Amino acid sequence: MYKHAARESGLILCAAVLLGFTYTFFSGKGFFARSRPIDSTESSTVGPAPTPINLPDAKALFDTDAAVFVDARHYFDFRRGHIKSALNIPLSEFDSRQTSIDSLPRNKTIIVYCDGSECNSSIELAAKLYEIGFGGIRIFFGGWEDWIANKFPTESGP
Amino acid sequence: MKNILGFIVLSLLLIASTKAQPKLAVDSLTIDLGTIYSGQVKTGRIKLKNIGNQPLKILHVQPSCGCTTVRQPKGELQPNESDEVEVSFNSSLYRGPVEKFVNIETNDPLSQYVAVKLIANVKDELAPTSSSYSIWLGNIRVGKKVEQPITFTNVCGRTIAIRSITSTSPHISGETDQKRVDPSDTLTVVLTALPDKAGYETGTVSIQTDSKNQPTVDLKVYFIAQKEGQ
Repeated sequence: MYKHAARESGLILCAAVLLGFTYTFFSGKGFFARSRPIDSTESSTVGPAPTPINLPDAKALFDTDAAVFVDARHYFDFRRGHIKSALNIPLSEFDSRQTSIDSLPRNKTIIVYCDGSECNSSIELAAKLYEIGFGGIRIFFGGWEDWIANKFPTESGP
Repeated sequence: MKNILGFIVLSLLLIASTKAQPKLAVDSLTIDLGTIYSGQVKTGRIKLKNIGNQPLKILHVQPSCGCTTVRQPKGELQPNESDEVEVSFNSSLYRGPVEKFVNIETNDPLSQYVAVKLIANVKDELAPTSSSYSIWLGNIRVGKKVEQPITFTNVCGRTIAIRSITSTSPHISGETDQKRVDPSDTLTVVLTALPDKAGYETGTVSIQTDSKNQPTVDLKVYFIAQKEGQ
């Protein structure tokens, strides 16, 4: 009687373990899951640390659409005017702008800027992005002031 | 007849409702702080008035940079009520013509955002030859000492004595062996950074002088420290 019950319990246990492993294998979740191939678009490998970029190089990347410009200024200033097609991630709102940060491409150069050479928001934003895994960020120290002084493309509004 | 009266009443109500709104008026869209020496703090005022006939809500008064602070006005102005925004601009780190903004957001339906321009001309006596008081030291390995000389030219007509150099960061310092800088001569300050942990770091190195116009020359220093292998 007890022997029969123990055998049945064992069978049930084995079936449960087998079922669990089968589920994790096919679902890709859990201990027995297959290792996923690394997707380069979501790699968390930290690339090169931020480096400066000057105005001519920034403009060249702008002209070839090879970079995404990120404006670290407050949204009021961004609304009044910004580099054409730039994204606004105000430094002060970094933690609440996860959606904007997630939308940053990994296959393009990210150029961060703020007002000009005296502001430090661009450096701090570059450092924060670097800390969360974005590599090869360029800091455009000349920023908004240099850009508009050269009458390069801008736009206003949100 | 009833229809005509109703139409008139409705029209009047509509006109009244569209005109019943808050309206912000500022005394000037530009505050000229004049010529100041780098490091000086200059204060200006923006007068706000609600010239509408509904309460005006002041939702945000936001300066465009960390160099400017504002004393926030009342959160709400009744019709015909006025208040002031005190704006203080710290010219440390700035040189030459400066243009900053104080952004005001209200519930004025016709002009939700108003930007007041703040202008100043910032002079210096010890002028950095790199043209900026902001110094980017780049990416530094943790535990590695990096030095960068920064030179200044004495652009005033008298000798400036160097009293001391201090830093706000234990990992950034500045040193010079010069005690005085004669007119048109240069001062060299060697900045040293020695990070002990990875990450972004900034600090202000302040050079104290005997100048009345520019008693302190601030250098804002930045770097990103990386561990070996990063």
